[in-house]
Amino acid sequence: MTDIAFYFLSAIAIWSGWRVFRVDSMIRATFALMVSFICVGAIALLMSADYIGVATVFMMAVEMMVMGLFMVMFMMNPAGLNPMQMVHQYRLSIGAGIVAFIGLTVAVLTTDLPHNPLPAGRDTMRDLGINLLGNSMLIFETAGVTLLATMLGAVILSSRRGRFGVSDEGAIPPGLHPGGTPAGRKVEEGGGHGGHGGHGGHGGHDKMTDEKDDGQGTGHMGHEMADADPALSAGHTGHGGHTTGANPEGADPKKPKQEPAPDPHEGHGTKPKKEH
Amino acid sequence: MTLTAILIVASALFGIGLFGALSQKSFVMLMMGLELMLNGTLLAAVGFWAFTLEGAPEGQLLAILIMAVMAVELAIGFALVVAVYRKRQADVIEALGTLKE
Amino acid sequence: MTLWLLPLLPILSGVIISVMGDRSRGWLGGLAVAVLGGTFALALAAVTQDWTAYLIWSDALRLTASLTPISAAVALMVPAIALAVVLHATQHEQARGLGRLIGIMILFTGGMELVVVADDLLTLLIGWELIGACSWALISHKWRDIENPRSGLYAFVMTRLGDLGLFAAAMALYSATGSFDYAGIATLEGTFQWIVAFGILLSAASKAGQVPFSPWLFRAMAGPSSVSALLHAATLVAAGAYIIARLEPSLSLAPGFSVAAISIGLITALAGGVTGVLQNHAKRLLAASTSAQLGFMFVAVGAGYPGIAVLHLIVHATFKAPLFLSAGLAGGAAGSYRLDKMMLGQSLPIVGGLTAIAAVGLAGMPPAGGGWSKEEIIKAVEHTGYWLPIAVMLGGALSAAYTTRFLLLAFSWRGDDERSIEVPGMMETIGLGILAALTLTTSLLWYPPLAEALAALLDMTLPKGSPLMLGLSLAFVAAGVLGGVYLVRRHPTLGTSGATAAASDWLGLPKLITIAVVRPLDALARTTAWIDDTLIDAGPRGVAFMGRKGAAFIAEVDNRVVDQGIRNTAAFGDWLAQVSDRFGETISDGIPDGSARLTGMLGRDIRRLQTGLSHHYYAYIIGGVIAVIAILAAGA
Repeated sequence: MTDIAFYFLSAIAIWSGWRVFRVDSMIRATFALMVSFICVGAIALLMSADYIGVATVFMMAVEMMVMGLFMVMFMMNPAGLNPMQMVHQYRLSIGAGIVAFIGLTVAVLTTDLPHNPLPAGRDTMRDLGINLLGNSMLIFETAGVTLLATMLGAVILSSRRGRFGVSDEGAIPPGLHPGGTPAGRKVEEGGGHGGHGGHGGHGGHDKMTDEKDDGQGTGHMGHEMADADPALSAGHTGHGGHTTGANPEGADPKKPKQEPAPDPHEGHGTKPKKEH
Repeated sequence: MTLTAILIVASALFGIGLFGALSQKSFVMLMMGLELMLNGTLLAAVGFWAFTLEGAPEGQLLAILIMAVMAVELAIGFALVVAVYRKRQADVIEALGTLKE
Repeated sequence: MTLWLLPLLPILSGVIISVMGDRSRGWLGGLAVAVLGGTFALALAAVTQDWTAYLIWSDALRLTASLTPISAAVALMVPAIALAVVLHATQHEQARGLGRLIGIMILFTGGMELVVVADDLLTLLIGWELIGACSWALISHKWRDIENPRSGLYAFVMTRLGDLGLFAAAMALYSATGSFDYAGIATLEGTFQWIVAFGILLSAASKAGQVPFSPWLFRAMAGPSSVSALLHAATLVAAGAYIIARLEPSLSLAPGFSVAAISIGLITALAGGVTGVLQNHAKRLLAASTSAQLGFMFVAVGAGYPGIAVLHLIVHATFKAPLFLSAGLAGGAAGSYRLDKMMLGQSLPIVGGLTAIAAVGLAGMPPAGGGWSKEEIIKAVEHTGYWLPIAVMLGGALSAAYTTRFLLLAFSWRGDDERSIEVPGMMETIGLGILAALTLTTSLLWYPPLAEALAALLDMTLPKGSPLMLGLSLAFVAAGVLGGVYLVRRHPTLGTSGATAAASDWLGLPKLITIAVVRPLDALARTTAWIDDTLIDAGPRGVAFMGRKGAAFIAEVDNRVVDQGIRNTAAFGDWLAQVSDRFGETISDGIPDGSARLTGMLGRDIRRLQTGLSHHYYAYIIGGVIAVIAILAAGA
């Protein structure tokens, strides 16, 4: 009986796991993942790891919700209405996956696994509870502290208010002297240099910069921030032109703020990058 | 339900998860791939506990730790995704090309 | 005391004086007188105290010296005559080289003493060689004139030829008796006796200037007159006569010795007399007379009276030395030795007077001792018959003739003499005077008891002769004197030109020697030299030639092969350097360059991994994990 259940559950787990990456809709991917986890939790229940199974189900439920939220937040095609293939190094990945599976299977099959089965009728939950608060208290406490640190870190990382300003406006530390360049390495192309795949806007970017350059002599690459503000504005105008040229949508919430004010940080990170 | 079968299932899950982690462009899908991998690991840990440890509770503790790791990874990962998106409007991995600098 | 002192004093002094260089005449004179006086004193002591000496040279060789009565007499005579002559030499001879002259003359005296005191042939030989060498040195004294050394060499070679006889005699004596002692000579027999006797006779004859060795005495006249006086009148030539007189008892045992000695002596006396009569050169006249007088001594020895010969030797020395000295003075005063030009009686009266005293002895006239000893010689040969004494008397007549001629030509009065003649000083004539005095003392020998006493002292017997012979010889002497006066009056220039001039040179003997001996020997020498150069030296020359060729060949080989090898090695080294330069440079630069470039390319390629894209990094991680697991699995 348990074997049948086990095989059934494992089949579902594997199938749904695979489906995670094959469906177009992100929500569906999320739910597939959840199904996979639930199956794994059920298998754990079958193996008398009650707590583990139930905890997995709970956890995964909430996790998938969170993930769905993020999916909607950050992905272009959450509903999967446009069947886009958003993969890279596809064959390599398949190969890696198959290799991993085969390797592990071979390892499993060839090793002489010890056989000390769980004695029947054991109250595993009780054992776990006593152990958690007894012998392995330190581990649990450490895990708890780690989770606390994680929570803090997550909050801080995703906080809107940065140290030097609102992150929406590009929190950049002030320069070494007032109005000067901030410390730290300048990125030549703010957020736009991908390795491969459709980045058609590159050429346009370059062209735009050249056209819009008012004879300052310096390309868009390393314009000095030590110049007077008019230069800045000119350079930045160039950048602004870029954004104008490169953005057919034109819907840039950041744009109106760039043009009038000679923000020293405009040349950098505030270009919307709708390309991918 | 032998240990071998469980481990095979676990490795299958791990393989799929690896495939997903390597092939997805989107951050979130990447995270899902990682989750799958950890899922497989969790299954393997529970299986080992069930069949080789004679019910010593440390096996379950390991499974709990794996879950804790899942949670941490998810949390930090999404926090980073948010931060990265805020900074560079990046929602795919290719957008983070400047990591090479 | 050892008898070696007697020769050693003059020898050492002579060497020292000869190398001391030219000193003042007075200094040299005093030194000479001191040395020779000391020698005379030593001789006197040696004679009276009967010294002997020996020196062991090695196991086989032993030098001995002793004095017999005869040798004692001669040993006393030599330093006495030498003293007078050397004293004269210090005053009269040229100042240039005087020290050498005096030194060698004194050295000669020592050699002569060694000859006299020798008691074995080896010591005799040593002295003989010494006096021969001194003779050569003294004849060649004025060596800057090339003729003098040539004359010296002539004299030396000729006497040396005779010395071969002495060497042969010594070797024969040694091989026969095992030692050189004189005493052994009497024990000889057969060939050895013949070799010894005639060898000694030969060398004595050559030393004494007998025929056929006479020409050397003429050549020896090239030396200074003092040298001629000492060596070639009194002592050196007398050594020949002395030695045969000393050894006569032993030598006369050899058959034919006496006859040979008498023959040699007689021939020389007659030929020398004739030569002397014809001679116009003052010193050569006296040289011829020396040979003649020595001939008389040889006759006496051959006749068996060596004591008489020695007495005659002593007397001859006393009158011949001053005659040479006066000839030297006259020649120096007149500028040349030509008798027909001299006529120095008015200018040099004292010298002339002293010369006259000596001349009487040479002529053999009764008051002089020379006459007495000549008479003794005639008495000595009386016992052999008539012809020998007649011949000796003839010789005596000839000697009287040439003596008269000499005296009258050299010191005759010439009223119209306008030449400015430098009269010799007292110091120069004092030697002459001493010798003249000695000559006078020898005339005491006419006193029979004195002669007997002397004979007893010398351990000899005087020959007995008839008064007829004495009278006959006196007649001969008178005839000779008259003949001489006649020649002077009628033929003053006799011997200056024509046949007489040729004859006056020992009747052509030198020419004969030149043709018969010198030229063939020269030719022989040239032939042997040619043989040696072409044939005998051909071997070494050939070897040297081959050696040169071999060396040239080796040099060639070295140049071609070895140097070529070296050059090739150098070229190879060059080539190697070039190759390594190109190839090596490329390699050695290429390897670092290439590896650097490779690393750069590798780096560039690896940098491409750094895409900045996380999925790539994940892939790398997965790959790495798989690799690690595979390694571990493989290890397991």
